Amino acid sequence: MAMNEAKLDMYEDGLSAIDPQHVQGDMTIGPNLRSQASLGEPDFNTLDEPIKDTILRDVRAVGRKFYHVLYPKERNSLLKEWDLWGPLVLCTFMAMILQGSSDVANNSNDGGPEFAEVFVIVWIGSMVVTLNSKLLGGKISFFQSVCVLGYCLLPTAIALIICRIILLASQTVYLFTIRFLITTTGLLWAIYASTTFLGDTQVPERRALTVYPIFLFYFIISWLVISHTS
Amino acid sequence: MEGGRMNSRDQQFISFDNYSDSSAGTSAQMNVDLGLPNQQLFGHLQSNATADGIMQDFNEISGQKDVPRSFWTVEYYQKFFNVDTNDVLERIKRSMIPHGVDNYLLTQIRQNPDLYGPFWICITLIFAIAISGNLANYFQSVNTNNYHWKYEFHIVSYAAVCIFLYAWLFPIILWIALKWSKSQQESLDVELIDPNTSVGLLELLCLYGYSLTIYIPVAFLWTIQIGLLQWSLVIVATILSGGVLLRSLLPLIPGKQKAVYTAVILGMHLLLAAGFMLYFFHVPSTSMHSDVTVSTTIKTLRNTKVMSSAGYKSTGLPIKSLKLTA
Repeated sequence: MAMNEAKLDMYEDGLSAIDPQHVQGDMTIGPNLRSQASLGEPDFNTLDEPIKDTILRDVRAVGRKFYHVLYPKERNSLLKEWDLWGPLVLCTFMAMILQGSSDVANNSNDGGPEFAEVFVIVWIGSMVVTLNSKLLGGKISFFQSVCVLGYCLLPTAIALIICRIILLASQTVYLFTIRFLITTTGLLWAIYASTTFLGDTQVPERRALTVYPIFLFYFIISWLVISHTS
Repeated sequence: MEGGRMNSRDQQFISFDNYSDSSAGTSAQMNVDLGLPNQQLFGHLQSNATADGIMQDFNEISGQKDVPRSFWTVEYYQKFFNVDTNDVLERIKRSMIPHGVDNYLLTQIRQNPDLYGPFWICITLIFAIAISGNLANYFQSVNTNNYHWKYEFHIVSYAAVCIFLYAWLFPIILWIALKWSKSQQESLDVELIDPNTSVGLLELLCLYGYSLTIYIPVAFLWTIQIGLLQWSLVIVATILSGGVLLRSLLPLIPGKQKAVYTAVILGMHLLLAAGFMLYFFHVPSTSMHSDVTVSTTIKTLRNTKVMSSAGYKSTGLPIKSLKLTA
C-alpha cells in the first residue's frame, strides 16, 4: 500500500485531473497500471507483492471481462486491454466437452469433432473474422478483436453447460426444444455482445459485411453445441 | 495473378510506350480504369504519365491518397475487399437472376472484383451443406425406430475440399485454358480493338465465388426427402447460376472453342450440384449396390438386432461379417 501511495505521488502532476481515490482503486485491480507499464513506466508496484495478489489481479481482470460480456453495457470495457486467458479457458472447456469419441472399434463414435478441430475452429475462426474486419478497413487492433470474439463465446459456453445437464435425462422432443431455445439464446446473446463491442469499428456502409462473419462464427459454434448429443 | 496482369498489359498496352517499370504490377488495372472512371482500385500509378489526369480525378472523388503498399501488409489486400454492403447484395442478387441483356461480369464485377463475397460464400456454403446434410440424414433415420441418430461433423471437411477445389482451383485452370486458347488464336489486332475479350484471374475467381450463392438456400431445400424435388432443384439451380456464368463468359471465349467451353463450364456446374445432392442429401434406393446402400442396410440390420435382443451389446462382429459378404 505504501508503494501505491508513492506511485500516486509520482503521477500527481500527470494525472492531476483524476480523482486520487479513483486512481488508487484502479491500480489495485490492474488495467490502468499495466497500460502505464506498457508505455515504458517502471512497474514497481508489483515488485514486492505476494504472488497470490499478482495472480488474483489477472483472474479478476478476466472475471470482469466475463461480466462485461454477460452485461454488455460499456462499449469499451473489453477493448481497453486485451488478454487471451478468457478465450483460452472457454475454448479448452468447450473443446473438451464437444469432442466426440474417436473410438471406431465398438461403434461408439458419435461423429463429433475432435478436440483439435474445435480448437482450430475457435482460434482460426476468430482470426479470420478479425482479418476480414481489418481488410474491410476496420479500426481495431488484431488481438483486441480476437480477445473480444473469444470472450463473447461465454454465452454459448453457458448454453453448452445447460445442454449437457439436460442431456443427462432421457431425450424427448420437448427437451430438444428446450435445448434449441437455450442454444439460440446463447447465440443471440453472443452476437449482441460482440457487435456491441466491435460494431462501431466500421463505417456504416460496411457494418453488415463485418457483422455477418461474426454471426457465422457463433452460428457454427452454436451448431456444434446443439448437435452434441452424447 | 501477377502473371495475368503482366500478360494483359502486354496485350492491351502495346500502344502505350511511356509507362514506367515501377508500375508493372498494376498497369493492368489501368486499362480498366480508362474505360470506367469510377474505378476504385488503384495501386501505385502516380509515376505513370498517361494516368496522371485520371489519378487526380480519382483522388478528388475518393479523397484518399494511394501509396504503394508492400505485399506483406494488410493494406495491400484491402483492395480485394473494397466493397460495401449494397455492392455485395447486388452482386449476390444478380448472380442468381439473369438480368436483361446485361453481362454480369462486365457490369457488376469488372469495375471492382472483390474476394469478400467468394470467400464468405464458400464458407457459408460449406457449413450450410454440413448442417443441412446432417438434417437430411436425420430425416432419413427418423423413420427407423429406436435408432440413435448421431451427427457427422466431418461432412465439413468433405464439403470444404470440394467447394474450395471448385471455387478456387477450377477458375485458375479455366483462366490458364483461356489464355492458352487465346495464344493459339494469335489474333492480336482483334484484342486491341476490343479490350473486353480478356478476363482477369481475379474476375474469374469473383464470378465463380458468387455463382455458388444459389446453392446455399438450395442446400436447405435439399433436406426435403423427395427425389423429384431434389433433382428439379439441381436442374433449376444449375440453369440459373450456370446461365449467368455462361452469359458472362461466352463473349470472352474465342469463337472456335465456344462449344467446348460451354460444355465444360455447364458440365462442371451440373456435376457439382448433382454431386452435392447425391453425396450429402439423397436417399439411396435399395436396388443400388453401392457402399452407401451397404452402410444403410448395416444400420437397419443393427436396429433390428437391437430391437430383437435387448441385452445384445456388441454389434461389431456381425457388421464385419456382413461387410465381407456384401
